[in-house]
Amino acid sequence: MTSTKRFVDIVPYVLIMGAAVGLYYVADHIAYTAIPDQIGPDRWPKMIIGMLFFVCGFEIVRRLVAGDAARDVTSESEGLDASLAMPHTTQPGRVIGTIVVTVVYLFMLDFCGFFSSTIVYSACLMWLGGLHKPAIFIPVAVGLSFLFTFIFMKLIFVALPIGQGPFEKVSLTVMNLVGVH
Amino acid sequence: MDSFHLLIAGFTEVFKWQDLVALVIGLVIGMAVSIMPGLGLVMGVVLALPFTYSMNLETSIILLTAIYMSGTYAGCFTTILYRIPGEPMDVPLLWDGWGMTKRGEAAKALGWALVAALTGGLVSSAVMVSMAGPLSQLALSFGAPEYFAAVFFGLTTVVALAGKSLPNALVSMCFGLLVSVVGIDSTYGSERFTFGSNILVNGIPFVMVLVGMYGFGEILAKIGHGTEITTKPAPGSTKTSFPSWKEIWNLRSTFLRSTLIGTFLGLVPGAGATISSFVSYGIEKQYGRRGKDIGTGIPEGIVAPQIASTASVAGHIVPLLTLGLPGSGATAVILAAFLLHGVQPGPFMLKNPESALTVYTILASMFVSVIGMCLLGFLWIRVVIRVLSVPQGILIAIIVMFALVGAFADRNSISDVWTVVVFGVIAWSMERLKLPIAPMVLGAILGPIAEDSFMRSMITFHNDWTVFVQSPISATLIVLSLVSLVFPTIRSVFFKSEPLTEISSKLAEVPGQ
Repeated sequence: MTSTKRFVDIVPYVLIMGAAVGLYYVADHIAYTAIPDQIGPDRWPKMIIGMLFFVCGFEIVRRLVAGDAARDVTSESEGLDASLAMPHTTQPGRVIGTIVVTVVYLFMLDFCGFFSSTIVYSACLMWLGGLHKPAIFIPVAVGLSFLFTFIFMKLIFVALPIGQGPFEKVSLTVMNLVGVH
Repeated sequence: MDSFHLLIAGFTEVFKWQDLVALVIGLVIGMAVSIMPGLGLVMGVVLALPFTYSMNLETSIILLTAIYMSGTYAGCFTTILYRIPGEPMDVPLLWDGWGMTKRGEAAKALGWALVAALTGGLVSSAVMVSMAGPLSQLALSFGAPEYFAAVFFGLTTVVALAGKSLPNALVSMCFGLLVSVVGIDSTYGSERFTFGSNILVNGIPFVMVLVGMYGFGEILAKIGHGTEITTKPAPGSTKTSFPSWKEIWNLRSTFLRSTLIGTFLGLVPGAGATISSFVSYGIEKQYGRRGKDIGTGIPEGIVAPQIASTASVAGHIVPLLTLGLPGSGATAVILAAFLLHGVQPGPFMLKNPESALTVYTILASMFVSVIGMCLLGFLWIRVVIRVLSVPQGILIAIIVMFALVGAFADRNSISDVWTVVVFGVIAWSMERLKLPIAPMVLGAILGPIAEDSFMRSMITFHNDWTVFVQSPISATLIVLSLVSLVFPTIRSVFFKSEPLTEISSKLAEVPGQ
């Protein structure tokens, strides 16, 4: 294993150790009225943070000291589990795209309302999920939006956002269509 | 009322129309999600959770348990007929099931799988129902140290069995435990790790952690794999042909061995259907009468994993009902359903006649679920299997919408939806860093119970740390916990034995995994 590869391997553990130090500092400043001879509310989180710090430290040392051997042993003992795991991400761009459209969707919900924003969001999800035929995913997106409005507003009585301005009118029309008054 | 009469009364409750409808719907959902590669039965249980808000407790738990139960069975159809294991637990079925299909014995292979699921499900349910009373009595004798030791055992076994590397599993568990301490602490009422945010004052609801990590996170992973499901089922017969009594009798030792493995591995937290299925297959290959022929398409290779995976369900449900401790992702969701209805499952449920009936109704529903899933599998699988023809993009959109709107439906709070998205992204990032997510999820769920019992022990026994090894029960559990932490090392030695290494290497070749 090259030293660069070894360094990249330990970076996550170093970052977690850094976060653990920060969290320990926060735990150390938890405000409470102490009772004599009784452990405080900071003890439990401090124990967890301590374990996190120790485990990461152990893993860093193990990877640095054992080097290639550590990697080999790990991969050998991982055989069964590694094969059970899902395949590695090959298209991170799509994942980031999904996260971005989800964040935009959540921000737009209040203004555009559930029905209108769900049409756009589910169409984007279908495209990101590999369905690239607009003739299919657009009508399906409209249908899904209707279906979810019906299921959640009519059957489960959830007050989904109806939006503002023209979007509110659209939502109210749809609600009438699905029988929500 | 004794256990037997409670069970009979439970059966009467299950056959009330609303419970029966929920059970059938649960069986169909469980079948649908378990035949889709990449969608697990845990996701099915998670996505059904919002629909249980408006149901009564019994109906909602019956629905979720039925999804869990049938999720361990339906994958055998796509595995045997199309060589597509819907769940990791179905992988061992592939070698012998597909082998029989290639020889034109698909109907017989399906028949063996059905008999195995029926046997494993019914026998383990019966064993576990008979253990419910004694387990509950044992749990009633638990003080805070014993409870802490039990939770500690649960966490360490989950870490040990979560795979990959032990340090990574421990890191993941610590993340989960830290998530559970956010908010107001129950002993002092002080704010912890809220960073001035009002949203965090009430803590992070573990249901949202579950939905985020198992629902949204899995979908992100699925999109990231970028593999269009090429699973248009080829025209083929889904007919089932049952083995004769004589053939079943010849496999009696396989039936017995695998049922015991599945039932008792189910009791171990973290050892779910997948581990039961693989261990049972491996042991059959190593010790079975025709062990050397396993993998060439013989019934033992279907019976062993199928029995064990179905039998593990009862092994997981009973500790949840009697001890209040979930041992898997699916039982964690079922625990969430209990808590959403304001009920904490545990030994006290069997002391109260009304809640005891609820417990036995749920236990009775396991028997009905087993029989129901086999009937559905026999009669309707042709319809259910069509879900494979739905394009992946549409399925992704449906699942994401269920996850997000389902999270919103809990409290009409958009912050819950944000929580789901954040934990989904965390789950995906953890997958990339090779950190298993199961320990984190169970850490978030068991964390409050662990902290509460730890604090009570420390306060009651004046900070005496030896309290955890003073009673025989807690001492035994602590020792078992420590043993389970060194188990991965033992396992790496154990898996060097030829049959299991072979299984391990074959796993890597499985399509869709």
